[in-house]
Amino acid sequence: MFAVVKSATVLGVDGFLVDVEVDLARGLPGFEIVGLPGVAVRESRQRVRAALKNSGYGFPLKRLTVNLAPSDLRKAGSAFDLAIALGILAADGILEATKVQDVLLVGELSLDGSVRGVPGVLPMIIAAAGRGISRALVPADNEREAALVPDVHTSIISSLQEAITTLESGGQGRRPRPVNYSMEPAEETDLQDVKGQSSAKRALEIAAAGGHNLLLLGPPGCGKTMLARCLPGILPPLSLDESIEVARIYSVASQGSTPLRISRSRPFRSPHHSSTIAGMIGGGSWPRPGEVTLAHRGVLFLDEAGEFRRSVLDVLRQPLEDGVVSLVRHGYSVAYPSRCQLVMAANPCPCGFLGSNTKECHCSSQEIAAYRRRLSGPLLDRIDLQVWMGPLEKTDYLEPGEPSALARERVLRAWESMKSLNGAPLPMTKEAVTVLESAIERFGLSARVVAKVQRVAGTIAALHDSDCVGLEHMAEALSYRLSL
Amino acid sequence: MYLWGLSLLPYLGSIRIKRLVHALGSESAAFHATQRQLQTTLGMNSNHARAIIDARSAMDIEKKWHDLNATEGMEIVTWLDTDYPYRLQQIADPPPVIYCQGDLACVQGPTVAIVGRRRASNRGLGWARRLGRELAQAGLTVVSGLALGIDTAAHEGSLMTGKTAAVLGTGLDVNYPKRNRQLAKDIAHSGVLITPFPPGTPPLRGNFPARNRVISGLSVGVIVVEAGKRSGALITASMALDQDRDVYAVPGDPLDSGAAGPNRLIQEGAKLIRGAEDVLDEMRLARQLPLPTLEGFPGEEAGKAVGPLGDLLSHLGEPLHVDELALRTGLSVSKVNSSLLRLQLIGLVEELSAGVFQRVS
Amino acid sequence: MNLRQVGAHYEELAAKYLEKKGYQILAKQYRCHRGEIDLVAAHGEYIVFVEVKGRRTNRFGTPAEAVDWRKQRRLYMTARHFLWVNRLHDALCRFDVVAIYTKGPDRHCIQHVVGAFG
Repeated sequence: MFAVVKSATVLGVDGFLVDVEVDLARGLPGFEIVGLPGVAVRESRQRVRAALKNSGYGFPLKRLTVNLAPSDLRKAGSAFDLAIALGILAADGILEATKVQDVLLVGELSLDGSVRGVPGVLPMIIAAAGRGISRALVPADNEREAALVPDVHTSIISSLQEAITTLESGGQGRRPRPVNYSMEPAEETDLQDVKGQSSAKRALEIAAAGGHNLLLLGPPGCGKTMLARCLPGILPPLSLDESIEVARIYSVASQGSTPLRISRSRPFRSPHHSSTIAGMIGGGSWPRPGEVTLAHRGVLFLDEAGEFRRSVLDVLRQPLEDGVVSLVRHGYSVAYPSRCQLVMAANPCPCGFLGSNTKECHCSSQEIAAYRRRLSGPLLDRIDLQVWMGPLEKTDYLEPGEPSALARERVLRAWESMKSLNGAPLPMTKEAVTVLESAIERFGLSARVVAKVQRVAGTIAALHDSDCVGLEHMAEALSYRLSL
Repeated sequence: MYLWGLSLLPYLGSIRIKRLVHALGSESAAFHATQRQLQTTLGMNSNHARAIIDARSAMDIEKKWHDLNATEGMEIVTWLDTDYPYRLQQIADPPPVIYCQGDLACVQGPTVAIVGRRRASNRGLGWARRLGRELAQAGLTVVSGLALGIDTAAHEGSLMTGKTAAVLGTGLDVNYPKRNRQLAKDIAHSGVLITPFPPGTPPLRGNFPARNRVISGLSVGVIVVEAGKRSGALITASMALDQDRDVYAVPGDPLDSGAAGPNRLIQEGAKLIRGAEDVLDEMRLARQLPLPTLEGFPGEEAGKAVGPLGDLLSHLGEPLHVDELALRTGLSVSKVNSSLLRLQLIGLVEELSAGVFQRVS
Repeated sequence: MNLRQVGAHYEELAAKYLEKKGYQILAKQYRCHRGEIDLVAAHGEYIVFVEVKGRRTNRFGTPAEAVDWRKQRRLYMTARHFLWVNRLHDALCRFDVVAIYTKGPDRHCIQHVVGAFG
């Protein structure tokens, strides 16, 4: 008359195991779920009842109590359906209790007894593996996530009936097909397709090598957006652990427009400038990860950065600084990782033609000042490199570009050499110090800018495979200094 | 003091004041002129003369004069004073009184005005800044109007190497344009701020031609860098011609709206300017531009540096974007960027506008 | 026959039908302040609470559907009252619906829905 089965829920990007305790008692028939259930969990009563009946199992005419333990953890979503249904069958003696014990059960039931996929399956399985649970049943819709964790023997199911058969047979059931990590970047933009703009390409390579945040300035149509889209292609691939970290985020966020992402290439997110704060850093009363989190370990690209609402740019500052977004809701808080590289693109003025020699700018000086102010707000502190892109010249179309693969090789070498340093800065030659000092005097550089220039110079030295920051490296770094 | 009082009265411009003083023998007498005297000497109608008398009686000239003189940092100079700029005195209608802050003596030496439109292209700004710097370096005082755009660039450029004078269209205590507050402070510190308008005068549309007259009046020559068809800079240029000053213009691409003004001036006989030397030649001033050299740059062996740096310099006779420069020299962008920065530090190359560089002189 | 008499008639028919199926009728028209239950019967281990619905056609939905959640709640509370009064706290319980279609004088069709809700 009593059974316990295992299920799981997600908070932030972490899975938490939940014991689903089912008790069948005499008395007036009823069905109650306790243990801080959310709305979707309470509605699971109707789905479970219908699914059991429609799979050919009667619904016990008894007093039914389901407890989701630990009871202080908030539980949302429909992922408990399967566990509740199988728990009822186990409590009613229809299913042998030992066969459902210590099996992670996840899935949403539909009224006809079929099982639907749910978000967050990957972190749930990871949590199960961490707690020594070696077997799991997950919906066939979540097959690709299930295949990522080899420590847990996972069977995929598409109906309640199939789940019961799999459990009763004690066998393997349907195993998920192994996943091929795609190495190819999702964005099919190659550096050789970007015409001209050699200095911007160089800056992009430096940004890739050092993980620096980059600001691209230039008139419309000069290739800012296309160039930014090349960045994931020249970044080193994700390590296996990192790619699971990313897949985990996409598992939690997988709803509608954001499909699951299992790839060794780095994510590239390009939110539109009308994005809201919640869309950017995550939010909602049941929080969902935002764009900074979806760009974790990859690139967050703000096109037309000057058009973003000031408040939206403001809230990005802390996540970029700390690498984590903390959202506090009544009674609980979640933390989403947000370690991403920022690339911003902007026109030099609202119309984009300020300073152009071919087209006249129609912006008033007030408009330009307001535009610059919005740009030079808090986010600019996070920018390490700035590059002014010129309009395309006719000759640029003829010039053969260098493919991304070559740039990636150089970036990879620079990563390797910087990794061996363990974050210690390279020593500067005397000439480099002199150039820096005279530049500080000549351009009136602030301490913050100087620190950035030094970091960038270190990256350039690494790109040149040098063991110290020389004159050339420092001078080049200075030429990308922030001067908006 | 009475001349200053006269300048505050309505309907009395510099020409009428001159006539009145001449007729009545002294400034004091002119200030205290009766309605009849005003009407006969100036041929005024009675309404205007009455208005003058009313304004005069409403004004406590002694107290006001005293207060104004007590104001820190501000000097009042009338055309009777010896330090009144002599060039300004020569024009047909000099302002009887000017208010200034800073070193007024700097407009007594050789001066040149740089004027142009407010909404300028980066290239135009680069030119103004460069001309300002080079002319100031040659010992000229650069005069301009503290407006946004070309004026600002000219002031900034000349502040780097020498003196500059800003002529305002408002009272000295009025902060206009707001964005140039710091620039105005810098100019007051190492140049001079001048205005023909008493403190508290707001920016009025009708006052700016008078400001332009003072700009051209103070200068030996006027350079127009960029100006539209109906730009205020052209008014300054035509006033300069009336005042028998030289007018110079920096030519531009005929398709570019900012070139319409200077190009027309050239067509009408203004001197075409290709650089600071042209101005200096025209003004028959010795070339005093010391040429910067590669020597003396620390940690640099002369021979090693000349290679790519010299190559770059040879291409930088015209303004070029970094990308274009890399293409022409065949050097890598990283090499070009680092070399350009070093050339910038030595002062051989300057950034005209975003990413566009040119050789200095 | 007025409505009440019609109702009593249907309950009578339902009681006879259930007795024929081996149910033991414990109460008819059990009432408390919460509401009323048409029939209470014992069947095996189960205490069965029965709602009787008389119908001429199915046009207005099936009889089980005619018991909306408000009626269900009233029946539930009344059932609890019955169990409490009779000290049957540990009984297995069930709610059934018996629908009676009239097809003519003395011609009926009876439909019994076991465990209709709960």
